[in-house]
Amino acid sequence: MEFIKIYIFYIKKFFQARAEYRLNFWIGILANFITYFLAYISYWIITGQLSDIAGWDFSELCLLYGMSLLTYAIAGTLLWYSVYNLSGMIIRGTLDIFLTRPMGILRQLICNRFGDTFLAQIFVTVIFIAIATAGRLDGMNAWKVFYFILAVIGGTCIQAGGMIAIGALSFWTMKSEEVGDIFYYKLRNITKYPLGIFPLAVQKMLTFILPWAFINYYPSALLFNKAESHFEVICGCLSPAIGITLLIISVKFFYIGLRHYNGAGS
Amino acid sequence: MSEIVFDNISRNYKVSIKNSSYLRYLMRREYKVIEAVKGVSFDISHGEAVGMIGPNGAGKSTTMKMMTGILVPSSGQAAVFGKDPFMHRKEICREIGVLFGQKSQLWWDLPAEDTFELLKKIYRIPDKTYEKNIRKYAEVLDTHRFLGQPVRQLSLGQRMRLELMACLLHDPKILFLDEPTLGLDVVVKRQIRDLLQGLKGSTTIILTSHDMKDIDSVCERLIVIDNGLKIVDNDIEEVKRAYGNIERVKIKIKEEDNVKLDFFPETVKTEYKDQSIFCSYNPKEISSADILQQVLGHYNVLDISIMSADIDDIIESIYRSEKDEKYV
Repeated sequence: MEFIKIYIFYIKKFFQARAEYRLNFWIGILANFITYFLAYISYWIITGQLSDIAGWDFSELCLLYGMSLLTYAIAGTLLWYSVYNLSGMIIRGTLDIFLTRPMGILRQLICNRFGDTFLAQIFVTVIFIAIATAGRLDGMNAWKVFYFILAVIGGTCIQAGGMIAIGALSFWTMKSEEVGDIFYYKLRNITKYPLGIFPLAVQKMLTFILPWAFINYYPSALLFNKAESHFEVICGCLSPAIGITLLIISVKFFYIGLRHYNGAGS
Repeated sequence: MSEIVFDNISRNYKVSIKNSSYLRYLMRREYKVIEAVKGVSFDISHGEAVGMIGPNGAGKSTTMKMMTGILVPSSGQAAVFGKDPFMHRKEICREIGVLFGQKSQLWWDLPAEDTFELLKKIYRIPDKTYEKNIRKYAEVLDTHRFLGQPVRQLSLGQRMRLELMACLLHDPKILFLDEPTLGLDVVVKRQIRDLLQGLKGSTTIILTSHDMKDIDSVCERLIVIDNGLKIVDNDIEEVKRAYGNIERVKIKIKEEDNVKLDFFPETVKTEYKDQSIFCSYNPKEISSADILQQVLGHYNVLDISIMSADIDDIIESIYRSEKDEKYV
């Protein structure tokens, strides 16, 4: 409760400070909006030509991508600027300041910077998820809505876990951007498409090693009854639990990293 | 009762060595272990004011960061209020205030008041205490005029006074100040010293500074760290006595050529520059009157001035004696 109060205070102050650079703020929002709007439009163009990708039509692809982007944007709003980019906080010495305050480090990092630019992504995604599900209302029921919410929470946990783990690497290497770029962005981009179009090795990797498929593929397959095997159904059901487990592991990892923290000069 | 206990604390840093071959550097890095702090022990009681000095890179900041729970010692036992500073970080943070002269805890684009309000929430400072402290410290540090101004518009001196306020709002029992006066003008320095003198006794103060006057005016105890080792830990007055050669006298003479100063005893260090003789000596061994008499016997004295004991000289002689020992 206390944390939420402090978080809200931070957001209020963030927007007050941001108001000084109002143009900057709106350009950031607009750029994000256009980028991700075009991503959805690219599905529309592809499915216009091919009618579907591995049996997934436009609205299904919208949900697939939408779940990936929505969870990314929610986690990003909280974590991207300070936790994923932890090396910057270390180099500037901000982390040293946080370590002298009686509040959890991850909590302070979350508070430190509200990820305003992610709001545009959430906005675009909500539009397209609404479009994706609007034509499918007959197949929806209360359970599916409940599962969808759980899956979004689970996916957000996976995304958050990834950001925390990559950020925590900077306790050892000081710079983790390159690692983050490859393992997080490049590989996660693959999950824009249904898992079935990839070779088995890639499918296995996205399930067992870097479980990005649990963010969007398995839940969407379950929601649209597109699971291709029992295994995929089980994965879909487990995805919220896996998300929470991963988040707990990466938070542990973060605090192990903190013990190895070397500080930033005098 | 001792508030801070350091028992044989060491801290190492692993630094990668850059090879001439870039390719090899990418493939397999070699590491060199740097010992920033080597087996330092001390014991600080409540209400003490301790000055920590040492040349750049001596390990002062690392020591300070281990006391505040930012860094974990590589070996040894540290305790603040009887607890491990890293393991009980949050608990201990409530009772301490930390100021890093080179890092800001104020929001750059907002007035300092806003940061203070945040700290009030984080430290759970009661309304009364908060208002009392704001009033008190704004008065002492003369910060009323710019409390409501965005921090980025302020001068360094104004900002540093606000930083100091920020770490005092929750009535800390221990105050850690890492070079709080760096780059400040004389007036602001004096304001900060006055404030610290007022806190003495009720608050434990750990202060690092390159300005010995800060240390001399605030602290009674001096810890000198050089090369990761604690080389001196004593009462400041004791240190002054032990390292002698602390009084200096400048004697201006009429003669310009062939000035020979070999008539002084060996314990007096002398130098001739710009028509003046500079002597530094231990006042216990020889008095300024004796020195003057010696000079009067040889030269025509125009002017004489006795300079007060300067702690800078002591420090220099400590550093120098350390180095001498090393090369023997």
